Amino acid sequence: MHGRGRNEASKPEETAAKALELRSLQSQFMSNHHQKIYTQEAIQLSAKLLGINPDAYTAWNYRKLALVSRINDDSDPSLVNSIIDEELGVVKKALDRNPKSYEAWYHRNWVLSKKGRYYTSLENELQLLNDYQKQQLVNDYQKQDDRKHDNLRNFHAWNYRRFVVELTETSAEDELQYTNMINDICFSIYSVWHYRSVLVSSLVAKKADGFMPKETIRRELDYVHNAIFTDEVKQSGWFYYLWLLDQTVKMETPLRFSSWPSDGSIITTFCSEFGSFPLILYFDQAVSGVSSSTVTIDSELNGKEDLVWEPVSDNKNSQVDSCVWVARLKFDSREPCFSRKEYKVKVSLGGIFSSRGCNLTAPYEFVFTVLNTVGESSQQGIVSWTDGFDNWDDAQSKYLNSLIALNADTGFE
Amino acid sequence: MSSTSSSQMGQLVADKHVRYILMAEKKKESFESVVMDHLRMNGAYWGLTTLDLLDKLGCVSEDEVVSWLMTCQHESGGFAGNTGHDPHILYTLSAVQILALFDKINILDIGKVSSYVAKLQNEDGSFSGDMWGEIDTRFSYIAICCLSILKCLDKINVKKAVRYIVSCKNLDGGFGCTPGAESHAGQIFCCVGALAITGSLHHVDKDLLGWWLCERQLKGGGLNGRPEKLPDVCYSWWVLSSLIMIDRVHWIDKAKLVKFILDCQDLENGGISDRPDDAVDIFHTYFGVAGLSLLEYPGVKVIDPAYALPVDVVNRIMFTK
Repeated sequence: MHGRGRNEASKPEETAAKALELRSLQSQFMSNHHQKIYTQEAIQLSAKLLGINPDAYTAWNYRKLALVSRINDDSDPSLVNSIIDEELGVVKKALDRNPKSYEAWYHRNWVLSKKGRYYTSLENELQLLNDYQKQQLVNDYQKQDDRKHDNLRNFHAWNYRRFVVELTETSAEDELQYTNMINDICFSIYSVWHYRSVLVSSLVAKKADGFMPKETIRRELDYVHNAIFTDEVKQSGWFYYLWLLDQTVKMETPLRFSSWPSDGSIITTFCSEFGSFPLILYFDQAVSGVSSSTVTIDSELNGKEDLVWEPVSDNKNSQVDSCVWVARLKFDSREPCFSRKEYKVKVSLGGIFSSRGCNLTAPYEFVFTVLNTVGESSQQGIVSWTDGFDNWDDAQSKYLNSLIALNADTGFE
Repeated sequence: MSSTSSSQMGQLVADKHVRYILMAEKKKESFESVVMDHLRMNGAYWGLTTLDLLDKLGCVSEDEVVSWLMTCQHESGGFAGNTGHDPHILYTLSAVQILALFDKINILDIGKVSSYVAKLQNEDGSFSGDMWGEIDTRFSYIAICCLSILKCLDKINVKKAVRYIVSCKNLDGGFGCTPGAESHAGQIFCCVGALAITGSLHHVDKDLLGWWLCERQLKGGGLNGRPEKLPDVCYSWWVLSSLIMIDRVHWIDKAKLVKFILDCQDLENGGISDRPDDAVDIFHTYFGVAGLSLLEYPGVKVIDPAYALPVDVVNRIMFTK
């Protein structure tokens, strides 16, 4: 459908013969498929069909059904390996015909994700990909053809690469080296720069050795300057440059937060009651390290007890980054009281970092008042805290998280 | 007569394209046609929508098309690319869109079709193409567009679907087929379209993406799908509709793009190709005409950038019970 000359007509007799052959193959195949025939002969027929027409998706479905009918979890490993070899061979022929066939690439992916752990030649997959991608790797200036670096620009191959990298547990650092190798020869392949941006982001997010945000950005800026200097006309490096610059803008932005209760507010509790209310910290970026060592409470209300801070997220692990953190501040007003009593609560924050390296211009503090008064919480219009928010359940957590996810994308307001 | 004779340059030869489409339907036994047998449903959608955009849908036999179309429906409710093939979400959308053109959605068992589509949603909000599990944001768009036309969007978890699409957003503002996959104009159209239909366009950084998209326009006026690639008429749709949905279409040179599309016509035999002087096909004929519609070319009906159907068809669906 793409890139064929308008007047490239083949001889009519040839095309008519090809059309007839394909028609006949297709109708035989359909008959096998509908009758669920998975003999060697039938399976080979489907391979022949796919060699001519790699996009015939029903034939790929048929081969999956045929595979499932021939092997299961108890099958002999050598049988499994030989069948996988066979499938990968059919995919290779199909890809030789059409290297951009979604169906062919997915079939390879499906076979290995079903049976990959049995496949003794799994390490070969990455090597095969390297060979495929590097096949046409020459400096842009040397290549005459207008289909420069088609293999390296084949996004199906890159998607498959990410799948194989995960399956073989190849490290992001190794993959980054791979992108270095390609860029050393040719700087203008967008797919490589994109992959690099994904790898660098994930290494920074994981806080990998040598990948702290500031040093990584500086290093990458030097790296991309090389690319732009070498060939300023090509777009790929410039898009990467823009992204890097954007990271520096974000890094200089201070971390912002708000709280509940907010600065200057008053919470009312009543005599003869006890319970807890939530102390909520909301940051404009996901942060970790919120604990009683980074958040100190100065108040008569809670005495010496350390607060336990939890991230509001599906994962209750305190190492998780979250925009929202909650602790419970207990109060106990059961001692006799005959008049109003005010407790000032001062909350101080310091040493909290986001995953992007932004931090609070520390120390930061806010103060609110807990007003203990005579009366009962059943008075109209007063919200009672006696429940203590112990039923902060999964549904509420997920709801709040989805709100956070929304805000994180639109920007903190 | 050369295909670029100056007296005919700069004109849409609509009648020739209509004739090309009607003739292509008759040439079912050519090799090119047999090879595309399995995606006839898509081909029918491209051809018929083009005819409707040129106000010539009446040239085909509605009964013939619809009765063939229904032979492609599987017992699962999904549609195949052609009679006898397996069902897939790709052809299910095309089938629903074709019926929409003819205002015949009511012949469907809507519950059955919508259940087929809804069941393809995965736990993380993504969609598979069929029972074999391939995941791609194309399928997210297809599911959302299809269920929206059938008015059954509540059958899926829209929040999760949106969240999955957003997870495929890249650092250049574009979208790929799966998380971590490179931005590509086709995938961008799918993701932006899905976000538009579900009222979630606030997730798009419109300036960042708008810039990436408008940089697709090359010196000759044509658009490519990714940096450093050749221009192709089909990107007149994928890139242009995306720009329109995020309100940045004024960032490209429309007149130059019109000229590029018109230069891709086969002025003698009808049909439009991927770039000037290449072989024509139905796929590029549709995207060329649809692109011209988005560029407000006279004589072409208005097309909806998200649903990829003429606006009067979309209105008919949305404004009737």
